[in-house]
Amino acid sequence: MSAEHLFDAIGQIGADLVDSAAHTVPAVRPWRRWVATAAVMALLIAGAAMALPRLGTPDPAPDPLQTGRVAPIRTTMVLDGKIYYVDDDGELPDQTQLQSAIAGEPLEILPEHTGSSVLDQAVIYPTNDAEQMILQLKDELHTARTYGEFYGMEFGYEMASASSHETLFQVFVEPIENYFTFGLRFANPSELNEPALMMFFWAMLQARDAAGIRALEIEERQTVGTNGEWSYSAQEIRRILDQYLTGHSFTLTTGTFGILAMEPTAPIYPVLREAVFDDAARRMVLQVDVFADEGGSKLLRESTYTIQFTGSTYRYLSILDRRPDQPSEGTTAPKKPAD
Amino acid sequence: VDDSTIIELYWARQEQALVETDRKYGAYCRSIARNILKNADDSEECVNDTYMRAWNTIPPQRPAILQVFLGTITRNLSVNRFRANHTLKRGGGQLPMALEELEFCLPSVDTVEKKLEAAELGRLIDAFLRGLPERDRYMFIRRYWYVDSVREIARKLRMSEGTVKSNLFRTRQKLKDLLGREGVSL
Repeated sequence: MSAEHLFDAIGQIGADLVDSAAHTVPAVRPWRRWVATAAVMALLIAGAAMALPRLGTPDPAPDPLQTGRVAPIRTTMVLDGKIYYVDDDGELPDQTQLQSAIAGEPLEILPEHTGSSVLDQAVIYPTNDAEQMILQLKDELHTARTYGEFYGMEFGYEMASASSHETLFQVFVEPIENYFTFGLRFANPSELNEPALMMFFWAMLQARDAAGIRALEIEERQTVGTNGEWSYSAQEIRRILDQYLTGHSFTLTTGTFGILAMEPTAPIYPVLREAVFDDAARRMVLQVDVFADEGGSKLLRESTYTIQFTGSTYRYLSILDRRPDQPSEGTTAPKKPAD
Repeated sequence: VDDSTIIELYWARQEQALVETDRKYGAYCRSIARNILKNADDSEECVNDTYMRAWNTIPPQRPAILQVFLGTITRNLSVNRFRANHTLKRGGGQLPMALEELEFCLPSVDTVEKKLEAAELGRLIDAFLRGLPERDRYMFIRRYWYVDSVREIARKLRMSEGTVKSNLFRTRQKLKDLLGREGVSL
């Protein structure tokens, strides 16, 4: 009854608020518009495979918690002037067609320090305060408030205990499944090559946006290129990777990263089977079964996401896959079950 | 036909008021009713009842925003119809899910209790919403006033459902904190 009372009270809010929500849809931020534009451009572009190691996980248990539906994104990116394709259909792209498409829509890449402003030189350090960060501008330190919060372990607990497994899935798994189905699977992040790291960086930008975190130097930057492409400096990329991925080996020192095109592919159907917490280690392990069909009859792989929480931030320690025809191996999953 | 003309038709007791209301706001009212009831027949009855309620209350009332006036009636009638048809939190539609999400906002029982009437609590929530960023406010109202599905909100904002859900989660968390600080017991 309490929730109903609250629902009734929400019905009492000002008519102007209700009216506004009926007529005004908040503006889409520039880099969201860019994604839509890039998706159109992607129709001209095909992709190729990029394979990374796939390791083992334990046998699954029955009783899936929540099913999701994900359309993995086929992506074409440029990194230091080279073009990379991230997708798993195994076919090489038509280079002539691709170059022609890009030539028709020239991409402008900003050198790391060209036209830099104060914000371009900023370094942001997250703190344990969910809404506070340290902003370093040249040699001066400032504190600033973020727009939102990072996701801490308490968020994971809350979602697991409230049976909001779908949200748990969408925050911690979906960004990876959307953008990394084609290759970013790792036990040791040092194995990752730069294109894969770039995709990880891109997904974490998406995840940060979902968490309401505005990266000042990115959000404030104008789009570049005729299609509104974005580019990111090595400094920005490194900072994001440092925050979300442990032990990566990232050597890019000059140049920028840009996404040329993104295109949804055939959907897959991940099922979040289990969320396991390790209080002492501040870790959460998500067991995910990925199916080719909505009915869950064709298992593509079993994935284990191990996520480390530090304060109110999190990092991916590993993402381990096991194909149905692979034997079971050991696991890094903590054994303590969730309540 | 603008709203002031429609309202004058009501005041003149001309049934054309109902025709113009349905023409301009019929789809709007139906979408609210369907979000809650998920039943075309029940929704249609609620919309018709909305028109009758408007007919009986204008005059003496003169709504400042006719659309919201009608939408509020539709929302209340639809919720009452839902309550009559179901035990809340069971059955289909978005309402049970919205209620389940709102349960998260309820303060713990050991806070200092302060019973608030819906109107008073509504004013508290109103002030809370006005302090939110526009996008968060939009999501909250679309979800818990209009009872839109998360998918629909995501479509309107061109966002992923996960983004919408996580934003709603943070807003509910903030509302929970506020209600806790205010010592509100529902």
